[in-house]
Amino acid sequence: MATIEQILKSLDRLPAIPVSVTQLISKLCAPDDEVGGDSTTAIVMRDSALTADVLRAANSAALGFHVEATSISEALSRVGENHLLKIALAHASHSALGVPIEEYGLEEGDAWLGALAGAFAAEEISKATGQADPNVAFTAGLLRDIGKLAMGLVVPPYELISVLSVDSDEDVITREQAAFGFDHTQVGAALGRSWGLPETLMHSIRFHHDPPEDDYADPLYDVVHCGDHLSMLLGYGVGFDGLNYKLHVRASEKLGLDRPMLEDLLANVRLRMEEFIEQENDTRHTA
Amino acid sequence: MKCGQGEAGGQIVTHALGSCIGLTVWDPVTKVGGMLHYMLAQSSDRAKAERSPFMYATSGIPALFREVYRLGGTKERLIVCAAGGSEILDDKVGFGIGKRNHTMMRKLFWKNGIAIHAEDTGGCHARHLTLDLETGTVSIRIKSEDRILWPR
Repeated sequence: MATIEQILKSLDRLPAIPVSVTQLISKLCAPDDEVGGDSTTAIVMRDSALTADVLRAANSAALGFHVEATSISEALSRVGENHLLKIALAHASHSALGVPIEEYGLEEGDAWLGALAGAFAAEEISKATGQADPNVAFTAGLLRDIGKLAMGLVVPPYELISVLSVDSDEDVITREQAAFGFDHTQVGAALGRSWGLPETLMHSIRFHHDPPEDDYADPLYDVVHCGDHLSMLLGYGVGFDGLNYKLHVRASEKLGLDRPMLEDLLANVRLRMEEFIEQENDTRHTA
Repeated sequence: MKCGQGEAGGQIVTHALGSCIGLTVWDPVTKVGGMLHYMLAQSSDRAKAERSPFMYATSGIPALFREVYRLGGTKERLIVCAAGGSEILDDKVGFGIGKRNHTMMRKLFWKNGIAIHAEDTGGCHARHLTLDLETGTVSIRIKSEDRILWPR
C-alpha cells in the first residue's frame, strides 16, 4: 500500500508555499545561537506586497508610534526582530493558507484566520506556562492544519465531505482514520516534508490532535494541541468538522491549564485577532 | 456589538460562533435591533471587562439592551434569540465554556424577566447568525445549511 508521501508525490499539483514563508519559518525556529541565512529585512524586501503589508502593520495605531516607519529596517528597529518576523510570516502565509477548502466547509480566508488564531493561542499558552519556545509555538500553531489543504487531493472530496458532515459521536480524527486509513494530521506532516519544514514542525503538525506521552513527548505538542482548542472555541477556522475533536486531559494538565487561565488566554487571543483583523481592514481600505 | 434600525437589506451578521453566544434583540414596532457576540460568561479582571465589555455576558448583555432602548426599542416588545454555546466533543477536562456562557445568559434573563423567543445552542457545531433589521428574521447556518430561527 502506498504511503501518504508516495501519494502526494504522484499528484500533479500540491498546495505550494512561498519561498519567503519557508525562509521566515527557518529564521523564527532557529536556535538563538544559530545565525545564518538572509536577514529578515532582505527576505521581506524581496516581496513588494509583503513589504507593504509589513510596513502597514508596523505603522498601525495599535503599536502607538507617532512617526511613520518608511522602510523595513526602520520597522525592524521599532518592533524588534521576532515581532517583525511574526508579522511577516502572518502576512506571507495568506496566499498559501487563505484559499477556500470546500471539503471542510471553509470559505476564502477562513482557514488562514484559523491558522492565525491557533498561532496566537499557542504563543500565548507558551508564554503563560513557560513551556516551549513562544516563537516556535507561534509557527507550529500557524501550520498545524495544513493537512486540510491536501486531504481533498488525497481522497475523493465527496467522500471527505460526507465523513465530515455526518452527525456522529465520534471525533473527526477517528472518522477520517476509519474512512481512509489516515487523517489530516498525517497528510499535513507529509505535506510539511515536501515543503522542507523543520522536523519539529512536522511532528507538531502530526501530533496536534493527539500529543504523545512516550519518548516522543514534547511540551510543544501539548501547547499546539491546546492552542488548537482555543482557536476552535473562538470559532476561527471551524467548518463542517465543527468542534468535533478531543481535548486530551493529560496535555492540559501537564501545562497546568485551569479554567481561569483558559478564560484569560481566550480573551488575549480574541483581542489579538480583533487587532489583526482591524489592521487587515485598514490595509484593504487604504490600499 | 452592533445595533441599528431596520431598512431594506439591513443585516447584522456574526460568523463562526464556537463556544461564544450570539444574541439578537429586535423591536417589531420601531424595527430597532442589535446583536452581541460574547465570548465568556464573566471576567475575573475588572479592568479587562471595562476595556472589552462586549466579550463578557455580564457586561455585554446589559450594554446591548441599553443601546437598543436608547435607539427606541421597548423591553416588552423585544424579540430575543440566541445561538452558539458549543462545546468541544467529549470535554473531559470540564472547562464547559459554552455551557457557562449559556447559563449566565439564562440567569441574567431570569433575573430581569426577559423571555427567549428562539434559540439554537449547544452541541459541537460552528454557527453563523444573521439578524435582518427590516423583518426581524433571525437565521442560522450550520454546515452550509441555512435555517430560520425566528419567526418559527
